[in-house]
Amino acid sequence: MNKDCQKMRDKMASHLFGALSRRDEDALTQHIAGCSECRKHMQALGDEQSLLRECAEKVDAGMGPREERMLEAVKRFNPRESTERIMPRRTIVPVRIAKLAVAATLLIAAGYFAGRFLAPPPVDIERLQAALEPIIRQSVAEQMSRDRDRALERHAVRLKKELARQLHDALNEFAAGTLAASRAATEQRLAELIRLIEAARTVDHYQVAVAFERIESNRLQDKTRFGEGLVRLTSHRNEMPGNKQ
Amino acid sequence: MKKIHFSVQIFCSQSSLERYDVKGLLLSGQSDENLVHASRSGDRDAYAVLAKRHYKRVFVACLGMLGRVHDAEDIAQETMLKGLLYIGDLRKPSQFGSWIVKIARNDCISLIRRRSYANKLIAQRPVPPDDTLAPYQDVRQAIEKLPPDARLPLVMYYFGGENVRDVAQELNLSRSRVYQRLRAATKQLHRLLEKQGDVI
Repeated sequence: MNKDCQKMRDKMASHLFGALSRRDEDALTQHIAGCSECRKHMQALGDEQSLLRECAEKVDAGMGPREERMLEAVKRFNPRESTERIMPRRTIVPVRIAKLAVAATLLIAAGYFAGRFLAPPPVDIERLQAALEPIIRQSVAEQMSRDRDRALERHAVRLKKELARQLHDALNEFAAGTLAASRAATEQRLAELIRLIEAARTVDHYQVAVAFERIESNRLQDKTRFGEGLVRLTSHRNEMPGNKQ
Repeated sequence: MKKIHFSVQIFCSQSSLERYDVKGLLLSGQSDENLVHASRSGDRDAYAVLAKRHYKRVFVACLGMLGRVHDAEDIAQETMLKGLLYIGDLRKPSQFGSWIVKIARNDCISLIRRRSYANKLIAQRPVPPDDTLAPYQDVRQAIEKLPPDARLPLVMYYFGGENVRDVAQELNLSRSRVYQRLRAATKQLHRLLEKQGDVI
């Protein structure tokens, strides 16, 4: 393949889409006539184009059913449901599940092999026990001490609360007694006061009645004296010389 | 549009409306904008017409990005349902087509990311066999192996109606840029098919 062939092969693709000038078309036709390789290439490109067209026709022939399926989906579509739930017949979910499964398998396998090959040799139990015993003893003692302190603390708190409660109750009781005694004394004093007031009022009434009686008797005496006076005055007048008839 | 439907209902009985799908006929003549408004007010038939009108465009975009028919169908269907769910958020109802394709592309990118992450641990799941496409397994595999930049214009060109102008518009590229990508994709596809031993 020479330089001309390379150029012509570039033009062949344009030829397929009808994008060559008349001059280039003539040049291509002339070249193909004399070059079997390029003729084969041109033939292959033509075959591929035919194949693409046939494939497109087949796909186009399936457009009717596809449209029907789409229209059916449009009819059935409920806007309240999310798009993701309605749609894909093929979703990413299985891939995710598979991905998780692969990850889980890899983790298990890694754990198994790590345990098998990287685990430390078995330890001497007695030595381990001897080494751990004082630590465990100390830890247990510390734990017991902590527990005891906590229990004492809890007990002290409980006692404190109980004492406070008892004091509160006693104070309440004392206050209630004092209040009752105070109320009785007050009532007694009030009753005595009322009695005294009543006695005073009775005495006042008596004195007022006596006063009224005196006034009445005085008034009667005055009236009698006034009548006697008038009689005396009348007799005096009659006895006067100028008044004799 | 509702007025038209109502006036037709005055002259036709309900049964004849359903029998001859008069509503469907009426809706199919409506603009995207009207259909979007009707869909927003809860007219599921209007959205069905809208979805049907743009389904192929969405499907081809998905196929171009994903390279697999089954994946493309899944994502295209998901996209259409998302469109129904979020049609209230569409700012320009006349641009429903571009909006829905954008959603599809985002979904495709999301799927590619999820899949590339999942593939690091587990091999890709097998695609369910499709008898109608069995003879084209080699070319389909080759298409799948193409890089997305090359595959998208190639798929849109062959599966979307062989119109470079539309492909350029859809991908917001110049025509010369689309031709360049188509040429590159054709060469890569040829190499892949040669490797698979399908080509002379």
